Amino acid sequence: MIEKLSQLVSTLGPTTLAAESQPTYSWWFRNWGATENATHSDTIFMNIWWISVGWFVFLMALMVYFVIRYRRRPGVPAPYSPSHNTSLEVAWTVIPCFFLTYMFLAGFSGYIEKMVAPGDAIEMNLTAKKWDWTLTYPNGASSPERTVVGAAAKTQAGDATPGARPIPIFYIPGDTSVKLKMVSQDVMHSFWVPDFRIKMDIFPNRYTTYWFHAKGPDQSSPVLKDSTGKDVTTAQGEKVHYNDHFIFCAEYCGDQHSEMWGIIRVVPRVYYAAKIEEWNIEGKTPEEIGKLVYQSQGCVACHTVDGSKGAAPTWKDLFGNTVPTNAGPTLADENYIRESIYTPNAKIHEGYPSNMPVFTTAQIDERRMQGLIAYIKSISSKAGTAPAAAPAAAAGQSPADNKPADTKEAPKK
Amino acid sequence: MSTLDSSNAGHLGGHHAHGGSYLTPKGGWLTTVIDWATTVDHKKIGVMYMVAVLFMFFLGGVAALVVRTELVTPVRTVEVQATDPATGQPMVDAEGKPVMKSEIRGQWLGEMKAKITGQELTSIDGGNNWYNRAFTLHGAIMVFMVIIPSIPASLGNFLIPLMLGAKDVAFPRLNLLSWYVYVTGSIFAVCSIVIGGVDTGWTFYTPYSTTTDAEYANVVLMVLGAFILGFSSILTGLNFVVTVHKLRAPGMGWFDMPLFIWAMYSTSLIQVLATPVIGITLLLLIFERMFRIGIFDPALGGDPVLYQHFFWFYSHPVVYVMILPAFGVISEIIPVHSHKKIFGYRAVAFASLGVALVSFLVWGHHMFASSGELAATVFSALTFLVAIPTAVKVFNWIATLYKGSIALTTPMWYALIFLFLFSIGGLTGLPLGTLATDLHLHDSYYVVAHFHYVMMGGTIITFVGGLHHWWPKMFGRMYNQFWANIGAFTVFIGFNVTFFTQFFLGTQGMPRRYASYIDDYQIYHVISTVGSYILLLGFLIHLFVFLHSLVAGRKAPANPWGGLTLEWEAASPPDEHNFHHEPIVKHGPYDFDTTVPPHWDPKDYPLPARPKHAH
Amino acid sequence: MSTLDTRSGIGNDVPLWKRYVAGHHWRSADEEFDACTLGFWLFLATEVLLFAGLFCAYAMLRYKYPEAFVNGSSYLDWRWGCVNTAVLLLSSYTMAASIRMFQLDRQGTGKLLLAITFVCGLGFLFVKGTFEYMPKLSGWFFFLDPALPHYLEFKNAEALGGMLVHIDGYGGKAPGQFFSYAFSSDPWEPLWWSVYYSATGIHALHVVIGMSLIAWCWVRARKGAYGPTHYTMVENTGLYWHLVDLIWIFLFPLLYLIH
Repeated sequence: MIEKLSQLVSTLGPTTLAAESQPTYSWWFRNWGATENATHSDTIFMNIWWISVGWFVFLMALMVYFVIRYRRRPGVPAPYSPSHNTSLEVAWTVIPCFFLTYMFLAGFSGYIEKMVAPGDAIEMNLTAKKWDWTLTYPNGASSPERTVVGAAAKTQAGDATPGARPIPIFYIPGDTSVKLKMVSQDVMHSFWVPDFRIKMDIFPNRYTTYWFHAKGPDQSSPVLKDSTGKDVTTAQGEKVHYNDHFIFCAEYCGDQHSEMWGIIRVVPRVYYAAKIEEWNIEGKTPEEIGKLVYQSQGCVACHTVDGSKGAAPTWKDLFGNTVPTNAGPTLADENYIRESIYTPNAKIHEGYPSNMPVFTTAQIDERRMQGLIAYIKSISSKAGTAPAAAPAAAAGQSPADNKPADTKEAPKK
Repeated sequence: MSTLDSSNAGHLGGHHAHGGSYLTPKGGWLTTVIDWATTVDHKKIGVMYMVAVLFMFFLGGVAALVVRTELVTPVRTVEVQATDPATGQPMVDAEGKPVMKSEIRGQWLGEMKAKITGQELTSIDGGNNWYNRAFTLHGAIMVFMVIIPSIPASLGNFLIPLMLGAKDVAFPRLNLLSWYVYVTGSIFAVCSIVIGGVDTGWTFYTPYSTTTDAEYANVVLMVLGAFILGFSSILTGLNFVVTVHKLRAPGMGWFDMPLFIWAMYSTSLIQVLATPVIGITLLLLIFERMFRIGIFDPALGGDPVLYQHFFWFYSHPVVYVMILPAFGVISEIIPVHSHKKIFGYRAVAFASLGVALVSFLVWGHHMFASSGELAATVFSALTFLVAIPTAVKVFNWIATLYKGSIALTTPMWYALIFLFLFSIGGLTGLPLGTLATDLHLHDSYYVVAHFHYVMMGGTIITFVGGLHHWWPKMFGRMYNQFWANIGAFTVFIGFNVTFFTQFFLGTQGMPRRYASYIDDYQIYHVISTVGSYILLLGFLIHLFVFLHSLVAGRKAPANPWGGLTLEWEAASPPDEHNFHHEPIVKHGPYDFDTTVPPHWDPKDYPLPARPKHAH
Repeated sequence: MSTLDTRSGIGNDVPLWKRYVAGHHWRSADEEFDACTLGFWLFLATEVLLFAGLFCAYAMLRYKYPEAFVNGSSYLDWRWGCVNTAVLLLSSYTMAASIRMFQLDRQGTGKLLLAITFVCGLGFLFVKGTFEYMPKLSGWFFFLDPALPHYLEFKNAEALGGMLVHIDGYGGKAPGQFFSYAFSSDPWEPLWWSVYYSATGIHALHVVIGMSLIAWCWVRARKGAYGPTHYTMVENTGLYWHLVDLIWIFLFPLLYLIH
């Protein structure tokens, strides 16, 4: 914290808007100039700020001067002064109006820039739900990448540790206009990227839009590394630079509202194109599609695939087995999985709360649904079993399948 | 020219032969309690409001400190160990280490859920639940139960009839009813806290508020509490409007009224005209929760933005219910303590009415991030309109200081602190009214800092300042000004340390209502939290000063500061029926250059020599 | 806000209203009357604003779902609406007349008119509950309902004890999520019913409050509390009753007549 303090002191003082030499960290703003609109908006803010400082210093100086100059001294009469002066009063009513008019007009121009997307913007779909974001690219792909940030990452390394909440990373092409069509699946949220200086509320049953034109990464930007720490390169063998921008949910939405974050990772257009092609479901086997859907639609947040316990039933060995539900034991077959995704409240797995979000056919279409079923099948030892034979098979479940879970629980008891 | 009428106060500061002060006990303690509980005396009701408001202020303050303490670290500061649902024992992991609530988001949550068979958890307790409840509690209590009734109901009740030269408010029994309604509403809210609290935020935004804690009654209780408090507000406002219209002393025209009365009149008009809208809104919200009628629920075709419009149609004017009385108090303190006629009386009076009028037209600026472009533009333009009358008032107050005779008493210090803090609060509102910058600052800590500068730096600071100004009149005792000043400085420093840092947090990207944040923000949060404890210290000093004054303060003269408004003609504390005979107004409320204040006694308070031109 | 000073020295044969003494903080009884009236008008303003919220919700949702509102509105029978309007208009007249009677010290007529007003209020609530709410919620009709054409389309109506008829599938028009009317052709019709029940329900609550005030006036009037020099309470109750009437005058066309 001491170093942070000294860092703050070193940036103390008025932040200039002189081009190029802008600090990345100042008293007022982080990450200057992530978009042109942001720079404009910051300019307006700083102009209003200096106007306000001028007025404030003027008023306070007068106040302090009067208090000292006219302090009460016994026996000294207060000098007479009029208590009304029309021209003075008109003046101080009219003069602020000029400043206010400037602010309104400047704000309006910046607002229109922020609100009206250019016609050539790439349109993407953003879905918000408690407490996660899903971004769908124009080709139907979604980003499966997640990371853990901040103090949570330091104290609880790795996403296998309890409490660390992995937040999604969205890859966005640099120097390109992007327009998000946003909708919520449950309560209201608000999409805020502080570096872009704009936020927009997200409602259920109503689309709102959000657009930005992020400055692309340059040579000074960090280089993207893969999970083993090696530099990521494009097909042409160039290193990939990137800029990260935080996404925060800015409309209170419940318990983990304060962890509803995300990262917008601005990368060169070529790398973006390669990335969304990698996640594209076209030309992939149903199992691969299912795995992508599992990662990108947020299933991964609650359902595990290795048999360990999560906030929701594990998918390991789910298919073909009988699960206890509030509607009695049910065979987990294709129809059960389908029903549990489109109408989750139809049957609730015993021991788990009914907080699975409802998915629509727009989010998980038939192809993805079949992919998911194929994926769930592929990680079950009962995958080949015909439904009719399932009860018998359930009785004779092999103990080896349950082993990982058992060993985990054993020492606790 | 002097209207000095010392008989109106009996023996200065003492009890008059018949009747005695309103504080004189009527008999044993039981009789006294019954007397207070059934009183229709506006002064006693004002004091009862004051006690109730200060108690709620204490509750809300504790919640604020809980929130600030939690925010010292980017993750959970106060870790709560999770409870094993199967055994009811504290939860431990395989190695016997305790499992914290903040950790039960991944694997442990599953563990817990697995053990609660047949029982649904409506909200996942990921360790933020209690934090969310704490900030909701803080917001709801401070807005509905502290700031709205603070100056209007306590000082307003005590002072309006005295300043008008009346014996009581227009409808004394309705006044007592208002107090009981207020207490009932507060009890509902406290019950809601006792049975688990509310995690909706004080704005109760739908559809979150209609779905959270669905099985429990606490949200309904809290909303019902706010609904009932609304009635109290309406009845008080109605009472004051009629009082100002009908009970002015003979000779007191509209422009002979003290500016506090003008401010209270404007406030009351807003209370009467805006509160019914929140009434129907909260009623529909209750229906929505209990019967799922769907008017605000998008799943059933309703519109959550409609709720926001309704809510802010009330809650924006209510911002002026909070701040206008503060303007009134400042317009009293500054002339009295600088012995100077207020500059531009009519401008200040009309500015109050102007603010009240414009306040009804700007609610949409709370929704720039959710409403359409046209609406946002119109509301932005209207929002800047409200800055003008407010600025005019500040200019007038500072111009009043010019060539005055300024005594740096505790109330005056508070008035100066108000001018400092309120100027910051007002000026930092400008980037919020500006559309382009608001899209960034909306719902961030910048907004939090801004409205604390206005609501707390404006209203609460003035409430405390007003208490110091009228304390001698209310309780007939002086207080230790040295320690009161120490308290005022401590509050001033603590306030700025707490809230100025939050402007930087907001512009840098810290959203409000966050329990966790990225590490870069920590330094600001630590400074802010330190400031909040300095604030606590300041308020504790004030508490002890007041308690000491009640027990051992010296007797207050009838007019300790040399004020000219009618309440200073009454005794300190006033008699049961305020005045022995109806006062007749022969001078303006601020004619310091031509009038010697009533009960003026050089021993109590040395006056400056009168200016030569006075006659 | 009036206080009645029964301890005054005048004998008990003097009517109560002549013994009335204004509150101690008033200069005269006239001023007190003026203040009470002003205060009451302000209170009426708050009532208007309360309903204004409902009207806003109505306008907004009607704008959003015009078909749902037209569809829902077609289940309301304008004839029952007319009857209730007439009943309320009559009661407003009797209320106003009653105040006049007390001003003229015609105690008997005054009390009678108060009673008629009260009965009109009861009648309003009876029509509302029996012929409007009940069939829509449960499908049970009193057969004296001048049936809408489409009621008759339900062939499987069963008679029960002659008066009461149940029409299968007619009920279930509860608001919001309790809506279970099987033949609804509009998905947003539950919202119409939410607005309908909220608006008419809150209005009915006001009718009940008004009737309570009228009953209280009647009780006081029997003791002779109102007369030419003191009739504040009846006057203000009358104002309140007119407001309740006025709100209905707005609700009636909005809910029943606009298609």
